[in-house]
Amino acid sequence: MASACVRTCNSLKSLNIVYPLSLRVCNSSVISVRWRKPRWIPKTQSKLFYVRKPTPRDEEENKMLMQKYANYRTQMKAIRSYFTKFVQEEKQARKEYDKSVGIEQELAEVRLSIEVNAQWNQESANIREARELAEAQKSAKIKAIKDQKQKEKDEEQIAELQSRIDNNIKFSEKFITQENMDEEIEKVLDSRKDFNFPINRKGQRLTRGKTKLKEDISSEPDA
Amino acid sequence: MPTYELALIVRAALERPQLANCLKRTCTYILDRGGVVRQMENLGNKNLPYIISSHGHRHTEGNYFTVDFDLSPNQMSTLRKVLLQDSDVVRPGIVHKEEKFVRPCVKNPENECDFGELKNPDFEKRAWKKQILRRVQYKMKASRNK
Repeated sequence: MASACVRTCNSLKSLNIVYPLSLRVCNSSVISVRWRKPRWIPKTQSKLFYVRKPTPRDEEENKMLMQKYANYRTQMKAIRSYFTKFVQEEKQARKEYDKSVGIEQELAEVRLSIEVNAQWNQESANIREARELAEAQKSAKIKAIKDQKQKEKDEEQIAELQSRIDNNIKFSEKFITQENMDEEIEKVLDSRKDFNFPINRKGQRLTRGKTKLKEDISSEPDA
Repeated sequence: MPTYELALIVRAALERPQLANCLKRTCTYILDRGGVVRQMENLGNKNLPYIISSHGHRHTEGNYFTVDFDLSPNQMSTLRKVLLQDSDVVRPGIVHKEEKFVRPCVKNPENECDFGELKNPDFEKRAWKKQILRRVQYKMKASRNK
């Protein structure tokens, strides 16, 4: 661990700066080495009374740096004070301008701009309304055609349903109810039906041993 | 209520009054549940296509009946259960009945069909595949013999 730290800090070592071994130094950012030891483990015996030596500084260099820093601070101060003065002057000029003529002129400008804006809005509104009207007319036409088609379809459907209801009502006389059940069952037991017969391509029934056709099976399925 | 057709195979050993009783039972069940019995047909006593065992008997023949009826679809499962529990019934079969039979070729005139049956759409593909396979097999055989 220690050797690795020394290797990484080789370039810094040439400046005669000493870093503690428990720290890894890379590009002037200090990263603590975590997870090496749990927190409850105390300091090692060899490092128990270790006191870090203060960083050695070159006196001449330090003096030069301090001088440069003082220069820098005075220059910055001068610039800052210049800017504040400039801003205050601007503010004062603005106040005086507003007091004399500024507000009325600006209000007039605002009024003019509002008028121009209203004009533009009106123009775009005219275009929009014309477009919307055309669209509404078109959609109304389409809807009318659709409604007509739907109406015809509904009528067809209602007619078909009505015909089905009529057929059922007509056929309902033959339905089997509690009253006529016994008779019907007797009839059924007496009768016999057979669907074991040949048909031709048109669905017409062929009688056995004859080439002559009988009626369609759909109308007359009786044997 | 939709219309259904019930194909009922009843035990061949039953006599006439027992047969009538069985039919009456099914009809009354349908009528009690708010249904309508449209008509009944008797197809007679026939040999079964295969041996069917039900209620502890092996049946080789049965009395065939068809019952056209209207009933709420919610009642169908219970009706089927009741028929299966009936010891006189060998096998019940219920199908939905179309109001008017329309051939599939009439519905879509592009499909040519005989006797209302559609051709297998995969027929040509299958035939082609069979042909190719036969050719490949022949070639493989020939190579093996060499």
